[in-house]
Amino acid sequence: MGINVHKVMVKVLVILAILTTAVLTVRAVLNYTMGRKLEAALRKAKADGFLLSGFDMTPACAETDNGASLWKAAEALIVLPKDKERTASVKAIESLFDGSPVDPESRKLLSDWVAKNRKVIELIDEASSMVCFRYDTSERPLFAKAYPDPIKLLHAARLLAIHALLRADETTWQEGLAGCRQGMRFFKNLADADASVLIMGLTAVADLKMLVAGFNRIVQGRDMDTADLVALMKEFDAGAWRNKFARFIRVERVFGLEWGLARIAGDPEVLEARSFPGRAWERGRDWLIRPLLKWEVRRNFKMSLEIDKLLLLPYYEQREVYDRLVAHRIMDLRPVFMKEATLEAMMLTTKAGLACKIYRNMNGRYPDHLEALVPSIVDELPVDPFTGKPLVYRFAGDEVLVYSVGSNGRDDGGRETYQITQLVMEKDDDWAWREKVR
Amino acid sequence: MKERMDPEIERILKTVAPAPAPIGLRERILKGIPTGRRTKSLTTPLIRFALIGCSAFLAADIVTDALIGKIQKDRIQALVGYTAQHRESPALPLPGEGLFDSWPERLLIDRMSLLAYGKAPRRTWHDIRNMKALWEEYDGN
Repeated sequence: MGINVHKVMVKVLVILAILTTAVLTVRAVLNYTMGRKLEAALRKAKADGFLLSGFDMTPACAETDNGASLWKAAEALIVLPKDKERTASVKAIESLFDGSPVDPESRKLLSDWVAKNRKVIELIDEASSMVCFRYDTSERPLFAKAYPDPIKLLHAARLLAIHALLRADETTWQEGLAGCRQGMRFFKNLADADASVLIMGLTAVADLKMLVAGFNRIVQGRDMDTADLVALMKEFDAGAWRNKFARFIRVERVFGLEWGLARIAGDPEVLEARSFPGRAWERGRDWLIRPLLKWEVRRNFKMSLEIDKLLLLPYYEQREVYDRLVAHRIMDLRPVFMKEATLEAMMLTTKAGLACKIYRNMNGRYPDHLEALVPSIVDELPVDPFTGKPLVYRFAGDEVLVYSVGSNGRDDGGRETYQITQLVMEKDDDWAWREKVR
Repeated sequence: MKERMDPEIERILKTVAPAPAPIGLRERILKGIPTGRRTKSLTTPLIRFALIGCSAFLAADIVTDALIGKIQKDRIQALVGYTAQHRESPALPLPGEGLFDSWPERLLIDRMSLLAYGKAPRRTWHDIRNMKALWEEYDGN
């Protein structure tokens, strides 16, 4: 009886050995073919002009031209708001969107917070005029690079917007406006010159939205020279911004590729970055599923090349093409596109609002419709990125409004919400520029 | 207790010669030994062949896979421009000391704070993604 059990065990062992050999042989064949296919896909992409490495995406930047050097100093020195200051700063930014005033107590808290960060504001002002921004000058892959602290960037944007508003009230509105413009330039530079991943792009969008809202608050109701308004309009080039933002998504593609290739290679830096323990076990598993990893990297890479085709499309087209091409087969980028579109909408409405002010300077009244601005003030009718139709322009009570109808595509009367919580917001989802009619 | 036998019986028994083994019994027993061994043995030649074959195949699999994997890895890395040399480049998150000298006077800052900050751990993508406070500050924007 005992001998029989041993014999059965030997037979099982033999069957297992045969099966293991068969599985590993199939794995080896798949590993080879998947590797070949991945290599061919990369070779084709390179031939088609796509960048495959973060090193290729990072232009040279002399240290003396590098705005990041000054930002690093600002990052080291910034005093983050304490509880009450933080609440007041968030409320102040919300008030920019909903039009409510900032109460005197909050104003005092915010003034103190700004005073503590005077040096930081100066550093950012200086950085905004630098020609490039490279935070990590080393030639590391994107997943191992160091990035600016996004929390500090968000606080810095709040700080700059609040500082600009206080300056506009306490000194001159021109000074306040100058602060906003420098802040906007700084965050545009951040988007422009570094090989920054998408998370930084989303931070830049949020930062710019705060500053555009602050800009609008300062400009609204002010009498301004036509020449100044023309110069200001140039700051709000939504198309140029879309180009800059596309860069973040392209960098993200390269990030995914570098990450995937490093994982295939069993790079310890990648393994360390993963949160769950059992590194030796992980390495063994990754070795076993390497053909699958190669397949996945190739699939995601090819999918992200498809996305490249729609990066420069307006949101209403982007949404449709994205759904048809890649939705549910790759990381969901729809919220990213949507958030970028809200910034575009803010830029377009601000530009249209400034154009209306120019019209008023020229004709003594606001235009009856936006078509009146073309071609003397703007080259073409501003189009809502959410609908593809012209922006809504109307008079409501004592106000004139230009607005985009936002993600829900519905006219919410120009009311807007600071916080975006879903892909299609249910209400108060317009992005508006408004001014009292005098 | 051993019972003592009758001496007569013992005498008779001494006269009886043992019968020889049947003819062919020894040969039959010796011939049966390999079959018995075979029956009792854990492996058969077929199993041994299978095990040796599998081992050889596995070794060949692993060696070939490692070699081809290395060649493919090198080719892909050369294609994307991702080399060991890049990895060895030092990361310098802070600007060089000389840069401060070129900054305008109004920007002269607390160098000690800056240098202390420079010693803080680098924030990589993973660190940023795991910043819980980020989502609070980002607040849906």
